[in-house]
Amino acid sequence: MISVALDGEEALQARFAAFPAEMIASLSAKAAILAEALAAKVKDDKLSGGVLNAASGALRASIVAEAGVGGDGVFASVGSAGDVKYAAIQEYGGKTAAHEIVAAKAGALAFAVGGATIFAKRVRHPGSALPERSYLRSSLAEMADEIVAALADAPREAWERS
Amino acid sequence: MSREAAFSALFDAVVGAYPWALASRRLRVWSEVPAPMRPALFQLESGPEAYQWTSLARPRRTLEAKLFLYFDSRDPLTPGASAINAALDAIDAALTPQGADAAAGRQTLGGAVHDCKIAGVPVRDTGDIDGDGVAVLSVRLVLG
Repeated sequence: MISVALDGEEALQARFAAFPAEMIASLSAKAAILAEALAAKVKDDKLSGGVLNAASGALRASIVAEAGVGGDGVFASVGSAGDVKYAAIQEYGGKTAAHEIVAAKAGALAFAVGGATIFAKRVRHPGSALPERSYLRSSLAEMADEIVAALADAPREAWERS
Repeated sequence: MSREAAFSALFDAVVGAYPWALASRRLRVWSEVPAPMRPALFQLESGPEAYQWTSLARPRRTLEAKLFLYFDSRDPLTPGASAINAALDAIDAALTPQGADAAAGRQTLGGAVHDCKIAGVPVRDTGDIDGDGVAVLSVRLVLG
């Protein structure tokens, strides 16, 4: 029987054992940076005139970036948090449901039709069709190559250096 | 107190704190910053903004800036953490109130803000395994 002993085997095994934990910690920090960069693109480009103009600024202010370690891997997410009711329909497009508008703060609603002013206690809104104005998925698509390249670099460089 | 004056004052303070090879108020991802351009500082100013009405006439506004720091950590003989520690210490020192600010317990950045403080938990990766050291700091700016 032939046996081969490898000098430094224990050190090498220890190095490989530590590698995934170190790599996850490294990727987690870098995923946080990429998530912030993606959120900045959504807020400063897409929601600042690129796709939508900021009216109240509520949608832009609701954009949050998050990154961390979960399960076996690293995650990063960018999305709209809070109660901005039109966040999803602007992203995907769609039709709002028909609904009634009822005078709440004043005695009646007032609006102009054909030059005449109409007063009503309530009106039935038929719903609105909104086109897709993607601010999240379009940002991700535009940064996808950059994100993949940046995240792929870290393990490759780490492996070459180990 | 204006937002632009506040962010500019913060940037000036942090730029002067450490010998950055590159500093900018437009964020870049670390992979776009080659080693000769590091240490690099990028200030991101698209953080959340809050209004607090402490009086009927004037709101107190709270802004957030994030500082992204990139380092060349490829030297196997030097711990990647060393450069990060030195830069973070330098930023800590630059944002420590001095003189009248110290007496008031606030950092006003020369009068540009009501207060300025590092907030939250810094994100950091020493870069020991991939050569890219990074750190991210959040800074809260309060405008009176």
